[in-house]
Parts: sequence; C-alpha cells; structure tokens
Amino acid sequence: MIEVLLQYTFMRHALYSGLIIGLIAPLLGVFLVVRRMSMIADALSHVTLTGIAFTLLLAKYFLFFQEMNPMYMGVAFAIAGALLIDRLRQSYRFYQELPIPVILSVGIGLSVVFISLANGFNADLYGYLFGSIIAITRSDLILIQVIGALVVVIIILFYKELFALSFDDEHAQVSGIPRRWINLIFILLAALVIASAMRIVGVLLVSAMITLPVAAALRIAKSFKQCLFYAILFGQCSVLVGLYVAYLYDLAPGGTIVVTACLIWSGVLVGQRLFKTMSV
Amino acid sequence: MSSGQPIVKLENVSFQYDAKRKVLNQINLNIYPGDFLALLGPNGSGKSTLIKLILGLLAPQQGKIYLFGEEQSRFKAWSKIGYVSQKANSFNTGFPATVYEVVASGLFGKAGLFRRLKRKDRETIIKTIQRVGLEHVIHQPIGQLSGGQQQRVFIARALVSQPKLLILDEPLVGVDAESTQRVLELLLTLNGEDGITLLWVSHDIGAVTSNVKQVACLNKTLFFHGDTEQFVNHRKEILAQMYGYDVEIIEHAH
Repeated sequence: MIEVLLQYTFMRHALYSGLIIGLIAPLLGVFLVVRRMSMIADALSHVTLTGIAFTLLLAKYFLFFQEMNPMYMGVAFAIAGALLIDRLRQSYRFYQELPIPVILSVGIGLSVVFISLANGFNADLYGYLFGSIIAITRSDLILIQVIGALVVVIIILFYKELFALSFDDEHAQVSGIPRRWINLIFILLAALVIASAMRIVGVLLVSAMITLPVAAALRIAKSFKQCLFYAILFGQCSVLVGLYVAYLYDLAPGGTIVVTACLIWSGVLVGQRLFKTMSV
Repeated sequence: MSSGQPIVKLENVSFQYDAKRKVLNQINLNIYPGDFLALLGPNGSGKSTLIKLILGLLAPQQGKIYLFGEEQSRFKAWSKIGYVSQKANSFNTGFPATVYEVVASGLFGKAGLFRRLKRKDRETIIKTIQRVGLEHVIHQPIGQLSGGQQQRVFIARALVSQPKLLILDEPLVGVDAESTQRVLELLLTLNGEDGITLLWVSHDIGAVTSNVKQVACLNKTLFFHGDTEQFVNHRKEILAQMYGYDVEIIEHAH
C-alpha cells in the first residue's frame, strides 16, 4: 500500500504531514483533554481561519501576500488567539470556559467579514474548512515538520511540569513549578498544533484529531504514559487507514481520517463492553 | 513550648477577598520545629485562607510572612513544605495516572526544569508509597482506589520531597476508618520519629485534640494558641469566645 502511495509527490507530502499531525495532535490532545480544555482546539482553529482569510484579503491589494503561504498568517493568528484566551482566563477566574466560545465566534465572524471583503468564497477556502491534505505544498510540509519537531521536543523537555500541572495545578504551583510560564508555553504549543493540523483535516475537523484518539485511549489506558502511547497509536492508524481508504474510493481525505478515528473509538467502546460481558 | 527559630512566622497578617469582608484580621502565629499544631475553627473561619497565604497561593493585604526565617517573597525552597489540600477529595477521578505517577509528581518541583528523575528518586518514591501502605496498588490508576487510599496517595505525594513542614487541610474528611487509623499513626511517627513539623487544619475538635501537641483556634482572628493540655483545660471559655456564645462540646469516643 505504501509503495502505491509514495509514487506521487503529492501523496508523499500528504502521508508525511498526515503522520506528523497524527503524532502531535493526540500527544497534545491528551494534556488538553485531561485539563478539560479540549474546546480550545475549536476556538483556535477558527482563529487560524481568520488569519488565512486575512491573507486572502491582503492578497487582493498587495502583490507580496499573493506569494505568501496563508498558513504563516494562520499560525500567527492562532498564537495571538491563544495569548488572548490565556489573558481572558486570568480576568474571568470563575468563568474560565467563557473566553473559548467568545474567541471562537469572534474568529468565525471576522473570517466571514474578511472573506466577503476579498473575493468571496473560493476553492482554496473550501480546502481550509475541510482539509486539503493532497494539496499540501513543499512549504506546507516544511512548516509542519518544523512545528512537529518543536512540539515533540518541548513536550519531552517539560513533560514533568506538564503532567504535574494537568493533574493538580494548585499543588504543582505549591511544589515550586513555574505555573504561569509552563501554562503559557503549553497554550502556544496548542496554537501551533492546531494551526498545522488544520491544513490536513480542516478548521471544522481539527478538534476531532485532538480529541477522538484521546477519547479512545482514555478507555483502556492504565497509566498516563499508556494514555499517551495509545492516543498516538490511534492517531497514526487513523491517518494511515483514512488516507489509504480516501485514495482507494476517491473520498475527502480529511473527513475519511476523522471517520476512521471515530470508528477506532467506537471499536474500543464496543470491544470493552463485549470483553466485560464475556468475563462476567 | 518549643524552642528555636520559628519555621513559619506570621506578623500582623490580614487578608480580604473583597473590600467589605475581612477574612483574616491581624494574625500573629509562630510555628516552631517539631510542633504538631492543630488549627481549629468553624467552617468559614479562614483556616484554608490562612494555609493558602502560608503557601503563597494568596498574598496578604497587610502583614508579613516568613518561612524558615526567610521573607516569603524570597523563599525558594518550596520542597521543604509538603501540602495535602482539602481539594484532594474531589479531584478528577477519571485522570489516567497510576499511584506511582501521582506520587512522583511531588518530586518534580524539587528536581527542577530539564532534569529527569534519577534512580535514587525512584527508590524514594517507592519507599514513600510503602510508608502509606499502598505498595500493593502502586501501578493501579488512582481512580480505582477508595477515598481513603486516594488521600494516602496525596499524603505520599506531599511526603516524597522529604519536607520539614507538612500542612494538611482536613485530611480525614471523607476517609474510611482503616485509612483514618493509618493516617493518624503515620502522622504521629512523622512528628515523633522523623521530626517533621505538622500543621493540621480541622473543624473537628474531638478527633484532633487527642493527638496533637499544640492547638490554635481561629475565627477570623486568632483566639488561642498554646499547648493541647492548656486548651483542653480551658476549652469551654476559649470556644465560647471564639464562637461568640456558649457551646457544649459533644465528646467523640476515640
């Protein structure tokens, strides 16, 4: 199967970038889910779209932006959105979830305004909404590789601190962990992962790549390390199987990857139930 | 009473969440090495707030706090202080972590950034888990443990950094009889043999006074701080003063 896929450059790009996202999205997703912050993925992916729409608008007036990869502006907007959410969470200490729907809807509102100011809806934009893994360019792939390496290295370096803060952030702070800094690094990582995953599965499906493999892993993991392992395993399987099936039957790759992840998740749930009934 | 330099010193500490209501007023309190102090007070008396001030989770509007002789803002050796919070009873039981992983997290702050745990650290973690009697569930997810066992996990997490001072906020609330007994025995050995200073926050007067050496009574201000014997002898007057009316103590059998 792999040989068939790798004959084409676009399939190679799709496979490599898909596997990187299938690694970093669930890896970060585990931390987001256990901290009950998974909704942040949705908010930041919509803000990423705002950045992309903004580039399309600028491209109408400035030649420079026609040459620029819209992903760069998407990443920049996601980072700004992440910082804003972080800031707002400080000011609404008792309504910490409130900034998320606010940023989400402002993000989509601004996107629509920018799109209408540009030339209206076009095929490019459709790709950003639902993913366009087979349209991944060399510059997209390089960006995804850089982000992937950065995310993995930072999570390994700060694994202890991220674990302690996720489990009990008050205790982590009392034991001398620099809570503010680590949380800031974490939310910036989230922005990077989400902005890059968006290219693969699209704005509307990003949170599926972050949460579905984790939802399945949570059911069977006996420890935190196991949870990370299973989430990444399910993420990789979803990308490989989803991409292959999409290629075979000419389906939308982003959607097929998400549906595969969903099937793995339901498989785990059903399998667990069967196992329980049999062992009774 | 105890001698030496106090390891916790509160000087005229006042705190309020909003302008109208003072939660703590002019608190002066010294805790000395080797103390086993119970901080008693009714619900809403500011006990947990006082603990959060000592731990630096909140900052007082007035007054000064010294830890191990250092001003709190300059204090860095947080691993000298172990903390078992009341919240421990209501944590996310679905969190996918084993007893070992949770206890290990108590060492992360001490280890510092970019440092991995060493073999000696792993031995300390296992020994600490044995100390609270949970070695048989060491690799089980904490969500599968009983409430009392979970509380012992949190005590182990606080102990693993080998603190000099252990602060426990209502450690026996929601804990079964077996774990209560184990925790009490453990606290007595920690104070008696290991020489760890203990601060035990509780609203349950009977359960505490049969075990501790000193008592402090708090209801927005400090009403009493002295030896347990002294407290027991004058209990009625102290409590009447603290609550503002006469109270009858219902004896617990222990």
